[in-house]
Amino acid sequence: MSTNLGKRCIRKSVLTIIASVSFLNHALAQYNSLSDSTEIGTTGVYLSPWLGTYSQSGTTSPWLFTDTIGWVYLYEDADSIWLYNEELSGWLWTTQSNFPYAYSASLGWIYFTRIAPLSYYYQFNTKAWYTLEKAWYSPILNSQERAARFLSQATLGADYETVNSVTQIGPERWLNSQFQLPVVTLRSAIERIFQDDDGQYQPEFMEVENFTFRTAWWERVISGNDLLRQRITLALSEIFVISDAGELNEHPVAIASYYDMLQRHALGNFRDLLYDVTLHPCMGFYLSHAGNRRPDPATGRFPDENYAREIMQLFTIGLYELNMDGSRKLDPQGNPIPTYDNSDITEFARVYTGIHYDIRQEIGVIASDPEITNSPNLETITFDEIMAFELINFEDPMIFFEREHDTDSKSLLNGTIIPAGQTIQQDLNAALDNLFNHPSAPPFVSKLLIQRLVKSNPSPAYINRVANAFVDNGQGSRGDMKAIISAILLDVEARTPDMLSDINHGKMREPFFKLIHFMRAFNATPAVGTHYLWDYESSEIFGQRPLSSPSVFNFFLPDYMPSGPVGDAGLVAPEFQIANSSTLSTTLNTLHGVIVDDEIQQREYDPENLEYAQYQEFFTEWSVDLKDEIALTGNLSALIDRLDLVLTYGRLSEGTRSAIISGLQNFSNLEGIGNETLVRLAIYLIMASPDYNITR
Amino acid sequence: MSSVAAAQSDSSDEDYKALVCVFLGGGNDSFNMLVPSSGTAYSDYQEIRSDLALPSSSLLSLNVGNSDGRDFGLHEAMPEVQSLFNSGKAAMICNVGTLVEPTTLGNINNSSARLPLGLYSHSDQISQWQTSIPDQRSTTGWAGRMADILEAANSDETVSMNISVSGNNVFQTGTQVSSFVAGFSADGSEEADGLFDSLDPEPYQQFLTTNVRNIIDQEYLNIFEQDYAGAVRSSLDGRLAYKQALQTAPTLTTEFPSGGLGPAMQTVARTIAVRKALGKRRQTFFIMFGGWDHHDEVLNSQQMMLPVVSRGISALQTAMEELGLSEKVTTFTASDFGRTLTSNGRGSDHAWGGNHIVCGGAVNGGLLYGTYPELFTGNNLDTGRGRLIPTTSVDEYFAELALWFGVDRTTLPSIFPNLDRFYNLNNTDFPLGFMGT
Repeated sequence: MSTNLGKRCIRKSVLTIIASVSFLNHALAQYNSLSDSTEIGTTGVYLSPWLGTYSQSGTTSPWLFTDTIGWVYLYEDADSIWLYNEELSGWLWTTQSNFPYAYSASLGWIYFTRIAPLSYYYQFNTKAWYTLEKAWYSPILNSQERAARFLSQATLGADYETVNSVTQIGPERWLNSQFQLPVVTLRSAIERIFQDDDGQYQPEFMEVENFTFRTAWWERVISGNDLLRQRITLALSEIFVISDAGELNEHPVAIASYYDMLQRHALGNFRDLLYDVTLHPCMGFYLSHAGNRRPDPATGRFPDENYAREIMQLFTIGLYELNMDGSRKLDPQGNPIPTYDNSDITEFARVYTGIHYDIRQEIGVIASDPEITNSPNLETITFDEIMAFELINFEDPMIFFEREHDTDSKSLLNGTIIPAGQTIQQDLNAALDNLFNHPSAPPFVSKLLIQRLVKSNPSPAYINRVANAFVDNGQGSRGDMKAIISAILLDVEARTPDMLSDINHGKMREPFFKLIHFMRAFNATPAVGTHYLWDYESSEIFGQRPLSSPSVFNFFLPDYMPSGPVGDAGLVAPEFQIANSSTLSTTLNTLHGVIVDDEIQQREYDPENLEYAQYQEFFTEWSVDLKDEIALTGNLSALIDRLDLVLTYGRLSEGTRSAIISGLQNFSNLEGIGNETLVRLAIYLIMASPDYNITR
Repeated sequence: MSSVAAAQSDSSDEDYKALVCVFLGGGNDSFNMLVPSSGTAYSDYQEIRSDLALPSSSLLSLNVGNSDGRDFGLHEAMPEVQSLFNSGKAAMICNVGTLVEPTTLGNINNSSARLPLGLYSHSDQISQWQTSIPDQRSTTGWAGRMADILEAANSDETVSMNISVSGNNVFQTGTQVSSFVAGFSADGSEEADGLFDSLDPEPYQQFLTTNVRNIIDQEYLNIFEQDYAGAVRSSLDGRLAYKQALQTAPTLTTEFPSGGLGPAMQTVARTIAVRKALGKRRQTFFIMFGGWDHHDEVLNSQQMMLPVVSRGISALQTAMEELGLSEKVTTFTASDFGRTLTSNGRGSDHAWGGNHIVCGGAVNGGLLYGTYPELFTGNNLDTGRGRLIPTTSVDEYFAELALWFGVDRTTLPSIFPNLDRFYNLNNTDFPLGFMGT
């Protein structure tokens, strides 16, 4: 958005002359109209007699975050003040004495007011009040802390520089800049890294214990600049679950291909995602619709129901019909209404018949083998023969075998009928459209994504706002992931610091992600070129390992209720399902090893020892950049401030903070504790605290 | 051996009981585990199962003490269970499943039946087999509710009486009691290793333990923070106590399989062996063994996976005999559901009722309980594709185990709220009879 911001201003404002002349090159260090502002304490938050409370995103930035309107770009001349606000789509004219009245070319005269946590405006020509959804503000957090808090939801981990960058430009423009970044596939990394001495890509090396996938994946999440895409892709991997805990472990390049498919659609469209998930051979293998055949009454064979069920239950609409706010619709007796019954599953199962691996290349290999007589061809090969010849392809989208497709008419949900005689492609699109356009899909998917990114128990109003963005991105398009993600991350319930005082707000950090967070927050880089971390035991240590869930139900269920205060409140906490007496301690132990003892273990690819590579473990060092933090060890309070900002967006409680500082003082008296160790201990203690482990 | 002998000598009149749940996650195709082996019953089976039918000659014969005239065999991959059954130490419970109330095909066809929530769905059925409340989404399981009542009988609560070797589960979650998750190493050696061991005199360890505890023990207002702090606290305390207890475990001569259920069963056996150090008179154990969702490759997969169950159950039974606790430890299987009798060409799909194994010295073994259904196509339990309506509810199955475990009849309804729909609570007989009469 930053790149086309100027263009939008010009197009949408009548004040084009001023905008075009002054907007791009004008950076005011100080405004006359704000010269009588006073700082509130040392918060970086100011109070202006006419504008109210605001913070400046930098000493020379014209962007202000205001109490009443949210982000504005301020321009002033001798007798006028111009405020540019994205949500109101343009420039507002006002003066110190007129404000909170302002004039907009598109809205006419409007009047602002704030009733915490929301701001509203009254439009005189429609005589109606409107909510300013993006105006969230509270003096609880300063502008850096707000940025850090946003990044704790939008990324797997961000460093100090990224926090400052978002402080400067604000979350919306940061999101828009992330939207522009291209997809960098794991496949491209695998081809680059895994070459022999002659620079040739070594596909035979690919089938070794996850090695290639994990190497490329670690590189992506640790050193990529596409922070948002990686966060969303991992969220999707916990909804559209496949797992290498099982036979797919032998096909790491295929897992990488699945991850790349999720990456491509993470900021694309949900309908496209659904289509490619359905046809990805890893999913076809995992939920067994690859090789699904039309029914055969003579032998009593019926289509496989696995995918038909799980795509509805887990990927699109869920078990019960939902209102837009995520609440269950009820029948006249007050009972929830199942979205489908088993006869619906039987019908959908017939849609997913005739789909199998893209074996075109494999079949050619067989055909050219003189040892094999009667070798099959693509037009006549049966699914039994595909199995018998062990023809597989887990990387390319599955293809259609019309002769194995059930071409009878099928009845879908909500009265939709597929006519007889359609192709697989036609049936599939009809079925996926049926689910994608189902009224339950927007709230169902929205809630799952909110739970992954922001909080375990979103309010109905929050779900409703995101579900509406799913239905319509503002330009009439349904399922726009950018719109959905923006709606989640910029929502008042995610952004307003007022939520910090809500004791039911928040979610537990996913345990594995703490490892990534540490490495991203302090710029971990490997001493050698490749990035594979020895994460093999992560399922046991953390209770999770990306793309390695024990079942299609992910590491935890979205409605898991732990016993204790959360369950007592009738609320859910999905991530607590993997927090148990074993994982909580082993996670603390492992993080201590990584953070304090500097034991990031890495396996390295050795092109000279291809056939032994899976047995060789080269433990090389990673380095983390702690020099800024080490420079602060003379002042423990300043050190904790810095770490508190990056790790806990300034929300360490007083008790935790003083417990950590007194602990560090004790540690520093121990023999052999140097400044770097002290910093590492400080990071570790923060990351052990409840304040850190619950994001709010 | 001397410590084992000592355990044997003083355990016969000891008030101790343990239940071990082996959950076959994904839905075991148990009509290929327990199979009618001759006559019309076999030919009906063969016809409806088509390409999934096992040859009758492959089945391991069971000497069923209460035969209704039909012969039954066990899948050929389970000779250990065959031997346990034929020697009276194991029984089979037939066509068990989640039921809200006694249910007939007629009730279902005219939509008058109240059916389990999310019938045929993994997540719901896995949960309901653990909660025994199929008409609600309960957050407590029946072992958790038992523990709420029985934990008080144990002399120490640092380590919960409900021990899971497979992570958190609803089965062992009660209102007050939750499960202790034993670590992932088979012999418990990972317990409290490295850090947070207040027994370690190293000053750094002492500092670390004290300081992490100090942070965790701060006051937190946010309920998620409270939950997290509480869970870490009990993790640190429990693991230390568990480690100390395991140090007193006797060496068992029983050989456990090196893979499969072996390590889990060994952890169970060792934990039972140190029950006194843990201060326990009652314990439950939960083992999740997943991977049974055989839409595909059901025949080959069962050939590989059923031996794991058979050897695992057998090894634990042998170990309990070694400890002199055979009469006090009962192992039982559970699973999401049975599978369709009809084939999808490669495997079978989600269904409802299924067959289960109960094993232990206290079991009235060598018998079938419940009713093994007729398997002919279109029989009056078939809701379609050979999805059979259960003829025994999980409430009856589990209430029997709970009664044996020591739950008072008058408190049964608080653990199994729907039980009276299937069983007259005024009866003095056990619901099914496999644990008592």
